[in-house]
Amino acid sequence: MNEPVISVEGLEKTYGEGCGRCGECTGPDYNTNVCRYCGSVIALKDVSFELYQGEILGIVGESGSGKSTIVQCLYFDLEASSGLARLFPYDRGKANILTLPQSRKRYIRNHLMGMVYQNPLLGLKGYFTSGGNIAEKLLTADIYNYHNIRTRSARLLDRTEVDLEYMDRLCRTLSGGMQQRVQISKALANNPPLLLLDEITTGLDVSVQARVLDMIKTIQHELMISMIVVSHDLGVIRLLTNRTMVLKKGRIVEHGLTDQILEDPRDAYTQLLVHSML
Amino acid sequence: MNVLQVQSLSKNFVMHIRNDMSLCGFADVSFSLDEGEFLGISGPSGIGKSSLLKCVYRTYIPSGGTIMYTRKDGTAVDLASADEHEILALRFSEIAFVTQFFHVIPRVPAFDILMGELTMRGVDPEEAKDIISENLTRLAIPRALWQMFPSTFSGGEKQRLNILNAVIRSPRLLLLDEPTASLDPETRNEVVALLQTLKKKGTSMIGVFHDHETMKRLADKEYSFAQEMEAVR
Ligand SMILES: Nc1ncnc2c1ncn2[C@@H]1O[C@H](COP(=O)(O)OP(=O)(O)O)[C@@H](O)[C@H]1O
Ligand SMILES: [Mg+2]
Ligand SMILES: [Zn+2]
Repeated sequence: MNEPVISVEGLEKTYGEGCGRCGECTGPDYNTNVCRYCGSVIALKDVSFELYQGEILGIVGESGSGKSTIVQCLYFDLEASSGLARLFPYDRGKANILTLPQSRKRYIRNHLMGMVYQNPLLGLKGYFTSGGNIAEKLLTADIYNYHNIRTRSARLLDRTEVDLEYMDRLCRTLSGGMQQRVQISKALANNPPLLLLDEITTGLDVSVQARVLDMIKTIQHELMISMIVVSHDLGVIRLLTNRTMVLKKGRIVEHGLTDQILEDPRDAYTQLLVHSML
Repeated sequence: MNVLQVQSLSKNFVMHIRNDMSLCGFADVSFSLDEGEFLGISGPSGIGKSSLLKCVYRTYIPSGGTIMYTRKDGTAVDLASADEHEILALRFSEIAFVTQFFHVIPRVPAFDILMGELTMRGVDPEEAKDIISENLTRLAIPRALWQMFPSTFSGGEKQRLNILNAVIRSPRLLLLDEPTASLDPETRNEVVALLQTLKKKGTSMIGVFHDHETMKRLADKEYSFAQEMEAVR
């Protein structure tokens, strides 16, 4: 519990040319992430944090604040404009994973990270069966023993409460809630030390949401896996996380223990956010 | 052996969304707590008792003062200023809080919740089963409920499960905020007995109780907010 899994320093993501004055006219104080001199979007700036083993970090903020951009940069879906990210299970944290060659990034995605998107079909191949999706993930993680793959897939799907009867169904024919369970199962298939979850219950029926959240909570307890949980919903943050960062216009305005952020918020924006939830 | 040394602790809240209005939680609290000692906190409602516990657990960030905690390994740390990772590690291994509200996973069977608490701390599952069964029985939670979701429990049953959830892992420092409020006299006695056992094993505790009678049965000493206020006057 006392070792970092990932540390991020000065993560930045800019859409556009940038001009050298972008930083001085954007952010929470200016209530915009668009530079008025050059029109670039400063989606993230000065984002730094550390995640320790077994910790669950929440990222909360209004839509467009940059939450998804953070996890997408770490999962290499997006290319960060600058910053240093060290993933300790990779090369003992000596490398900046943001600047590694593609082949190394692919290795990290396949072996050391899992990602669950809001839209299940971003993480799944819809024209594969549930079992096929899990098998694919196992194969990319170099788990080759064919004899084992089917039993292992079944076990993984069982953990996220996907009945055996769904194993051979095409993912695109499943309900949203069922797809989300398969996606979670797939993200966990390679036993990643770090799991990224981006708005995973947004858009699901309320009863399905509750079940999926309980499931994640149970998996946390069983596997002691480190997670980053992105959500605009403080209820989700409260249930799943033990630390929280509050994001506004691409910057961190406050971070702390989740119960502290909810019960003793100190930043004006966090206070507004918490009070509008109650 | 000293476990906790609280010095000139204060807490006030600044409400930015109300024109930076400042609210006083409490001011200038000092006390110390030894291993296996029980400190009762008393005073009228709204005087800052819960806020004090929350500062020690760091749900609130103190505005001033220090909270020196001596870890199991003998090293000291100021809980008022320790970083988030440090606090989480201590909450995992040494410090527990029984709040007035119920904080477990709502839709997982009661038995499994307690099981998770123990096994994730390295207790052998077979041994954990025995410990849990013994404690659930002791707090008179009917066997029929063990495999039920706590969301279906009565207020008193929830509260007992809440207490067990913290007590079962024998923390070194236990914070209790009105743990017996919704219990009938009989189960209240069981909870008191359970806490006394824990105390004998060396757990230090700080507790707020709504009835003075229960507190007197547990407390070795008392911090009274009311007296402090009178002393100030
Ligand atoms: N391809 C893009 N081009 C320009 N701006 C973008 C692009 N993608 C995202 N953004 C901007 O980056 C900011 C952060 O977006 P995002 O990370 O999706 O926010 P969140 O996940 O918090 O809702 C927003 O202002 C968004 O409009
Ligand atoms: Mg998003
Ligand atoms: Zn610019």
